[in-house]
Amino acid sequence: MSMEIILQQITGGLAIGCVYALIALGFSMMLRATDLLNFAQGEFLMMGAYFGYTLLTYTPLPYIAVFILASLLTGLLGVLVERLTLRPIREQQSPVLNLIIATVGIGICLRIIAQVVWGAEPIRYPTRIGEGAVLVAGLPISSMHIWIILLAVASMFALHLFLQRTLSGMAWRAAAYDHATAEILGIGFSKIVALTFGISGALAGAAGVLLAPLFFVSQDIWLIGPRAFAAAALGQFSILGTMIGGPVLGLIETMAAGYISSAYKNGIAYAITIIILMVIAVPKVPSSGSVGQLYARIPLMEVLAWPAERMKHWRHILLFIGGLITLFLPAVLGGYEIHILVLIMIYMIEALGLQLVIGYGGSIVIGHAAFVGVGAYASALLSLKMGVPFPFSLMGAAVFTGLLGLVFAPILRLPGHYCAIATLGFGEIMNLVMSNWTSVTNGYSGLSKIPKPQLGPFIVKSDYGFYYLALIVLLLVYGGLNRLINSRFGRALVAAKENEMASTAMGINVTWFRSQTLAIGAVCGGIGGSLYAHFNGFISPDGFSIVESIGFLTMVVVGGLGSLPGAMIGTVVVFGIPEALRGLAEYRMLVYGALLVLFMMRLPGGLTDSVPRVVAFIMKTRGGVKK
Amino acid sequence: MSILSVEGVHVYFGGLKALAGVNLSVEEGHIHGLIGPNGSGKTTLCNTISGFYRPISGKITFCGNDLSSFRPHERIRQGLSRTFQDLQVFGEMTALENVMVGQHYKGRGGLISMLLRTSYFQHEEKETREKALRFLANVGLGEFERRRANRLSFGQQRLLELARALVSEPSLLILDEPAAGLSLTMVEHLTKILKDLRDRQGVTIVLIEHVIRLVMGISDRITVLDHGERISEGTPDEIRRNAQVITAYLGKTVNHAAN
Repeated sequence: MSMEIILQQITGGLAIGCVYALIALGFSMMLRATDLLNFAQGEFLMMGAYFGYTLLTYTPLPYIAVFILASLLTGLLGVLVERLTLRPIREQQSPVLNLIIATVGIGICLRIIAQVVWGAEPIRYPTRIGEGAVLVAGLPISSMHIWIILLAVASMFALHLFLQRTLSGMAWRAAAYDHATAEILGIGFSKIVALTFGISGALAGAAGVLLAPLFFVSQDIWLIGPRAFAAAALGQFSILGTMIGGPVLGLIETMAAGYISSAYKNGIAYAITIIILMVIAVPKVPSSGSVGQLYARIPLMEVLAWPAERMKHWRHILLFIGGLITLFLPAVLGGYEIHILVLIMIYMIEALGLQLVIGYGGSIVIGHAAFVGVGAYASALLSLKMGVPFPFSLMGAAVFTGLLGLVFAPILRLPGHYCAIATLGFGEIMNLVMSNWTSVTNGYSGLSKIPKPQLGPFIVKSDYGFYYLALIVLLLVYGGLNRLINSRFGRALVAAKENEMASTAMGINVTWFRSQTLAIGAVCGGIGGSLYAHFNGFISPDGFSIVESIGFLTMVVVGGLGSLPGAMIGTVVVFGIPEALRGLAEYRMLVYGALLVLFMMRLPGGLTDSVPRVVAFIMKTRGGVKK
Repeated sequence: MSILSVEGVHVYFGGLKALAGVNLSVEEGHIHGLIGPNGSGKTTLCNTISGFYRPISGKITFCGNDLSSFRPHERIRQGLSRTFQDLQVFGEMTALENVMVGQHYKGRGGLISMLLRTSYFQHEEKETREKALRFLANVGLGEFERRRANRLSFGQQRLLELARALVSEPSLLILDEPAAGLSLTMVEHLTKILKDLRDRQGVTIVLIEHVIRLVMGISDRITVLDHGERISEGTPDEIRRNAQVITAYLGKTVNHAAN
């Protein structure tokens, strides 16, 4: 390889790396000061890029002015978003999961807003800098790269000066070190949080304006956000470390793409994130704080104060009516509705698995679609390439995903938000494998002509047949999980979620229980994936992306964490809203994202928690409660 | 006979010496008090015995076995159970479930038996439940079995933690400040329970306590820690008169004045 190419690779890597550093500084500052991981960081980057685009197109301002202006605008947006959505949630003393989900919701909203304002088509950036190349020691270097590096370094230097030399910067450092003490000294924590969101928003915006000239601008560039997290991890979340971590990550990525494989380039950052987090962030002493929950859920039983007998009585009547309806529903519904119902049931199976992991295990997993996808591919390949009959391909998929879950279970040892980002990375890596292992998975074109399930002499061809097949599997999965939860296993799981230290002292091997949970959750995902593959007849990596993973997370949260029926209700809502809001076209996703944020603000216990609350409220206003 | 012996245990947190060669020997059937000023290493010692912290050097022997070969969750099986200084009940679970978790380590039925609800599973579940109810009643929480733990009062939560620790029928029970924050009547109730445990059931107890009246009243022997070292050991009377102990608690000048 010639010197010229190597030099270009190095400058290219450094340029991308500097952009990574800017994004990652937002992550590091946020973790230092607020102990929050902002999953909307990538969307702030996207907004910055779009702001820059508008300014460059409609004003005669020079690039540098646009760069500064767009950063400030994005910073302002960050402050606004924090003030309007995250602060109310934080002030309820909500656990970290609620905040993470709210930022995910904010990200979805920003993406849709961008799509509505600027359109879904990728836009070419109107650059006013860095066309052509400059010669350095006789070798040409892209002047765009030089501009990016210079501006990024200047921004970082400005940040450094701000933190070291100004009073506000020192206040920020003090609060990041110990915000309780800082508060006593008169440094309001809310101001620090607002400042952090402003700065990290501005940094992401700056990164957006710098990055956009290299690519087209589209909603998809948000994906660079979570990838840049690796730079923060490389720098061990210190400010200076992150500044160095960015360029290092950029160089590693470019080198690996050049020498090893360009297909897996995007996975490298995630692999680095997972490895580094596993080394530095796994706690050595079990924590005594609650990891997952969430919310003081009020059981309906307690509100009604009915004797167990009466509850049982009502439950039986409801179950009977519900059973009759589900059994005869296909008789009154048309083909389209049945098709949707089958899909909903398949999603329910998958969501139930995730409910076990998050709601009961308390591990924040954002990569569930990967298990679903692996199950779908395993089942499809077994029947396509080896002619394995359906029941066995389903079981094969279940076993394979279960084992995969066990292999990656050590990730669950990471605390809260680290587990979230690491599992997100796991999901992305799995998705890359599905897309790029073409000899097996047929790459982006996916697998088609997956045979319909054959059970003995019957071939389940119609949607009606599938309705009953999915119903049976759903009942089995639900019943199985319900039995596990109401036994020693479930008690140990909830105990470990509530308090690792106390449950360890009680003889619970927390790590092993979490691993089993992930494996069981993965099995549910795999079963759902297998059903989906045979139902749809066609699968491609697109169906198992990060967007799907976030969809599963939404189902579980909206329904209510720590409730199996909640996962099913959540599935209906998440699936039903887009269906019901068909007329709204792209706005329906906006509703979906806003719902996530609203739930975290108003109903952190999900829909299943709201019923007892409403009942309690009615009983209180009637004054008919006897204590 | 000594049931627990701690020999020359050192624990460091970064550069901070939390335990600097602590020695402790607990006789079987005794209530052994562990006192010392704040930050003297009492809780650290507990957590080291529980296995949450690894000693840099030194040895902890329990019933003749070296404890370092058991991981933290395996120690309850050896007969070691404990409560925590800062209440650590499982807040979202009911009182009954909390005590059922205390018997977790005895459970033998695996996932399959839970899924199939085998007769073995049902038998085990029933026994666990009944035993939990018995132990709840023993500490006086019988009527609260279905109440969620975080809706119990502070004192009741302390008792619940005690029941959860006792249900494993340990040979050694470590109580980390069980009386902290309790009302006087509650302290009396607790004293009675602890005496009963030692006298009738032969449980050995290591009792960390700041309520001096309680610890002096029922301990057979007392060890005093200061700055991660043992500064004294003896019967309650000996400890009361020990000059070094008074210095550790009240400072030098007071001690001179007392002399």
